[in-house]
Amino acid sequence: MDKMYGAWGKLLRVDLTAKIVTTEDIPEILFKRYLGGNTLALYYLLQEQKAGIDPLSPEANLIFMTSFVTGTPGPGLSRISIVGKSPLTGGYGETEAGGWWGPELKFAGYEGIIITGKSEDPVYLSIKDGVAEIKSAKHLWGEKLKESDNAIKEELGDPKTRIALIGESGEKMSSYACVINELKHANGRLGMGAVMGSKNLKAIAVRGTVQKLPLYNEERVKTIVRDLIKEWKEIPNTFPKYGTMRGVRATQEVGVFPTYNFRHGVFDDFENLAETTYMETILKKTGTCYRCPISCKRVVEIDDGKYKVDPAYGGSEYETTMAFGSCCGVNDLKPVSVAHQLCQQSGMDTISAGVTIAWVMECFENGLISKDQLEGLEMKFGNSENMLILLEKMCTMEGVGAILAKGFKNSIAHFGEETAKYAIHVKNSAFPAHDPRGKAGLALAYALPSAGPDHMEVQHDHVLATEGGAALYEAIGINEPLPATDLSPKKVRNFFVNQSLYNGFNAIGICDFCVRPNGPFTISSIGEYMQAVTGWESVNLWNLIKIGEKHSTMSRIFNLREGLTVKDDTLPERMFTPLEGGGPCAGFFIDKETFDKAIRTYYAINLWDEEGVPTETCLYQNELDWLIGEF
Amino acid sequence: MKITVRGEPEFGLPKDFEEVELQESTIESVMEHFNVDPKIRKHLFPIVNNKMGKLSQELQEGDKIILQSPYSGG
Repeated sequence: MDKMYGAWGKLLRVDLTAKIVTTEDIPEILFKRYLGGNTLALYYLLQEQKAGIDPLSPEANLIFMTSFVTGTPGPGLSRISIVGKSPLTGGYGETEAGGWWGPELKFAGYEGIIITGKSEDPVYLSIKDGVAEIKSAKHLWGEKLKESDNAIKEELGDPKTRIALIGESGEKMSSYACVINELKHANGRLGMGAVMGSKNLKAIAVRGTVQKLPLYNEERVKTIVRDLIKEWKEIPNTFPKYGTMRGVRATQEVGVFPTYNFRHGVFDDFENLAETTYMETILKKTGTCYRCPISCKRVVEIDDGKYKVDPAYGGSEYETTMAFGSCCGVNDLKPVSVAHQLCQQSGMDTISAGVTIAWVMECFENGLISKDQLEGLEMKFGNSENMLILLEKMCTMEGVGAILAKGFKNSIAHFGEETAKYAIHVKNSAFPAHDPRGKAGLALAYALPSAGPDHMEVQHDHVLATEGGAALYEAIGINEPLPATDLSPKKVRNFFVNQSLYNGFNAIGICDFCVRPNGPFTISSIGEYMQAVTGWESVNLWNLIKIGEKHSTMSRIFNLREGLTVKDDTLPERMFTPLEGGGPCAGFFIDKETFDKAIRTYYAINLWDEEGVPTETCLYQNELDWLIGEF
Repeated sequence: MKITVRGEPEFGLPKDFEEVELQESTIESVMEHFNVDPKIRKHLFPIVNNKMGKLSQELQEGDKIILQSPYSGG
């Protein structure tokens, strides 16, 4: 194979049943066609995994993938995609996380790992400088993340080892179990931790000490990075100071801060959860990811007798603060922080867990779930003490917690169909922390993605509603600001190109926050940067968008093969009814007819038919003709 | 005309609502008044009288304005 720049072109295959590890080449053409990350992983998944398999069976593949820019010097090139079939949705499972694990996998000599089979006993995988070994993890099964992380580092004799882990939640296969690296960077949402647990794989430890990633034009790479950071620092920006916690005040102010299980869009006690309170009361320091100048991560420490929070697990961010705060009617950052820690220790998705508990609270207050059914817990909104008890049951998969940790559909089947109207999910995955009744583009970002509702699917409506925000996307044809609640064909078209761009971000593994308006990269500079790293003319902004489009169709096909249909591209009924409470969006709702038209417009733009099935033209257009007749 | 304004202190805007007197009835003049950096003016989103607004909208006496940099993501 010819020398590549930015990538080794190496894939590690791990068969846990046979306990065999092998290395194979990733041909250059695959990087050019799929870039890496989510899209290259999905290519392998579609090629190699049969439709209809149980995602928790040995036949299921679990794929970790980076790209040719992961671990290179640019800001935010730290993301690792994990892809497989989701035990939560039954469809395409994709999740991204930052940290250091992705770059370290590259330094260890690989772009990706495909795991198949199932080990008889718990094991972990160690990859150091191109050598992979399967080691026993019997002694780690049942341990919390911190203890496991420490033990593996000690065993391997290298404290700089980066470890992606599952906890009890993954071991016991909660449908929304995460894989967490460095105790605080979560590949969350869709149960990839459960897939890992089903294989008896506790952790993957990576370390590279020898090889330096070759860059095609190192000087050019350095110049691009230096200039971007210099220019970025000259623009006022509060993101480094507050991180995602700025979201509490900002979403409250525009009235889309999900409160009381998405009944309201403002929370009267929001100041108790806001960034300033966070900084004054619980913040120990900020944290960051590989080569990121923003440092948006938070590190919290609490020890006040009632609440104890270990800084090793980082700190709650905006989404978690909504999920266990306003959504559950809890007005205190300390129990929110404990909830965050419980989830991190056991590797459970915070959004899913918090929004599930908010659903329990609403059902309880409406007499649809009883105290007896909740093992004696009174689950009224605002009861933080019982929220934490119930969450602990979910994290350990005990009693009623085991039912709730298997997702809404499972919980509705247990508690009764009448509880379904309060379940705020799409494709069985809970809503993130932005009410789409005031951000209409997010209605599409929640209804349409193959991997379920995603707050990182596109740039949000209020940013694109400003002249400056829209101008950031001029290079991809977004030429004018549109109102946040607009759901016209023009908005759908903007959503389509923006989604394609964001899919492209996940293909190269760049953090969305490292792109303007929050971070140093402009969207045009990403193309220049990729070319400087690889020397390939074909990797540019156009290519990024085209591969993002390709990803939407590939993941759609995955879902069609698994039996998902147009009926799954919807929203919970609540979104079609007026938002209660106060704030700028009070009374707003999504018009059903406009929404249905927007969905059909999106299908048409993608060259999918009325039922959301990709046409043959679409497959040819996206260089996916190898999928003709496959779904 | 008199209006009240608040926003992000890091951009020069008052943290709590503050009354200001303006010669012109534009949001641009509010930003001018507080010396908001021109680099970010077009990125700010106005909420006027508890309703989503536009940078181009004309202000009225007594309006209550929040100017924020909109939030996106998780």
